[in-house]
Amino acid sequence: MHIADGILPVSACVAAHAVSLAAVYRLGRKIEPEEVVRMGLLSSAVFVVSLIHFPIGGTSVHLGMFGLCGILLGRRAFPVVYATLLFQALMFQHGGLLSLGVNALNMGAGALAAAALWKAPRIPESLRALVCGVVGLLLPAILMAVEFSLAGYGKGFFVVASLYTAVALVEGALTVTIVGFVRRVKPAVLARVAACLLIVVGVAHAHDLVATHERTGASVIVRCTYAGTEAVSFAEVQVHSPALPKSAFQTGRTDIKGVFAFVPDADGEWRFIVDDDMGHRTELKIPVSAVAVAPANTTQPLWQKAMLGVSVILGGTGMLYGWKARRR
Amino acid sequence: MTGEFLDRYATLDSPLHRLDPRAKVVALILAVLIVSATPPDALWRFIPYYAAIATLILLSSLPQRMYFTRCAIASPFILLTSALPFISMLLGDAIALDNAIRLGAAVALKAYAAILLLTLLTATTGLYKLLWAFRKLGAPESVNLIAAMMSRYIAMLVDEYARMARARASRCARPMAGDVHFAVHGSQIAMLFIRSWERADRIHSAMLSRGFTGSMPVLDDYVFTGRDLTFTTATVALFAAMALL
Repeated sequence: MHIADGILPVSACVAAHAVSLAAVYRLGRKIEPEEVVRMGLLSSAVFVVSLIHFPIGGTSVHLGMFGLCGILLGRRAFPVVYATLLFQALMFQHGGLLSLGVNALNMGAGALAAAALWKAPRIPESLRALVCGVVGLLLPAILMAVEFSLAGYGKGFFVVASLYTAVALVEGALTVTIVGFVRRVKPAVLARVAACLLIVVGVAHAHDLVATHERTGASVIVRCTYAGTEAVSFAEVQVHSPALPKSAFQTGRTDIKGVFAFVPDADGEWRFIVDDDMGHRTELKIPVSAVAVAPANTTQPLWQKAMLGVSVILGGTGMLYGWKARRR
Repeated sequence: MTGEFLDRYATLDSPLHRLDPRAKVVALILAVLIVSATPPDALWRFIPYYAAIATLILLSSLPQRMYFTRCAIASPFILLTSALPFISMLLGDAIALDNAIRLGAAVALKAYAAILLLTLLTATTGLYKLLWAFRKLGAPESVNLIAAMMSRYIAMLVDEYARMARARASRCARPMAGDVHFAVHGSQIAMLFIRSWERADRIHSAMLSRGFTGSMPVLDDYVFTGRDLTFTTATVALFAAMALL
């Protein structure tokens, strides 16, 4: 389904490339470290799936998974589609480098449409997944047909695009199965998407999850709750020290009451990040001052020292007499 | 898998292999641009284009069978696109037969020329060096990052699939009827996705712990020399001159 180089006019290809590059820059800004894995994996999955071809009507078609890409990545799907198409152009000459922009706009539009539809409220999840899967594949086919028609190839590609309807339905059904299975087995994957979408639209704070902290001696105790009522039990926690902000000073999980404690070793602003794997995440900045480094308790009371000395002498004497008695 | 496929011929030695990847990227993409811009009513211009491409192929020392394989992979879609004017004629569009033939032939000639030029680029360079060249030439950071992760994860996905297929075969799985078959395969794909997700997380952590900063390192230290500049200028000038003939 990729347009190869030399098929569309160069001016159209260059203009599409400029638009798609601008979109990649815009939608690929400030990628969070936890998004890297998801984006890399989805792009690899789209790449691998596109290698599986089905013969239909004298030609061959393949699945795209752009709908699933949109569901799981939100608007990050566009740079992922662009990178996947770049890989396909380099490795298998699917499409081309010149027509990469047009292909990215076509298929990226499918993924972005799916991302928008996935957020539609009050529609059952399975129906949404079906529509996302179908639209993710069918919209690029329709866009291609329009482009071919505008480029002077006539309406011929509309016939080919209609062949994709069957594939789109298969892909829609597959998307429903995958989303349903993921919902049952690892709902955090879908929940993380919700968190990612919130991050992408610029909402810096996750909703509902509240973390408060207090200082007790050398320790800092953080209590995590949902809106101040229900405890956030066993949620993932990362603590970053002011000296090494990029590396975790401590990682772990909250206890059943949503409490986590750590012992800071330096003054400054500490970062506390809690993520429940269900789409709730919050970050707390904890100012720490006057950290007292407790000296190691090496002193021993005098009576303990005296007892130790006496027991060593008695033990040594006993061993000596015992050894002599054995020799006789 | 990615490395095996793309880097199979990257270690050969030829004048093209020794060039800076940036020089090859710029020269060959501009050549594709010029060939693609050729109007369909001047089909004779493709003779010198293909002569120039043949010269580059001979310079590359790559096995010629590989070019046929790459062209064959892309052929279904190219031939379909070439046939589009004829399909449109059958649907009643006002396209003259000679125009349809010219359009169809131009599409095929341009597409195959682009494939040959891009094959030259990818087969003589290798994946990581190509990604390095794109990064140096200003490709978006997000694309560099995703491409770097893809270069690692594709092999992992194939590996995970092989493990699942082995497990399925060892349980004597057989094709089932209708929706059961579909549901089983859908669940397997979803399971493959989840297993890969978890393994991808561990791989990413391992990459970070080994100093990964968003791009795969290239061991060669390339300096853009006069030879690279000469190749780029000469290739682009040659194709441009043929286009203006």
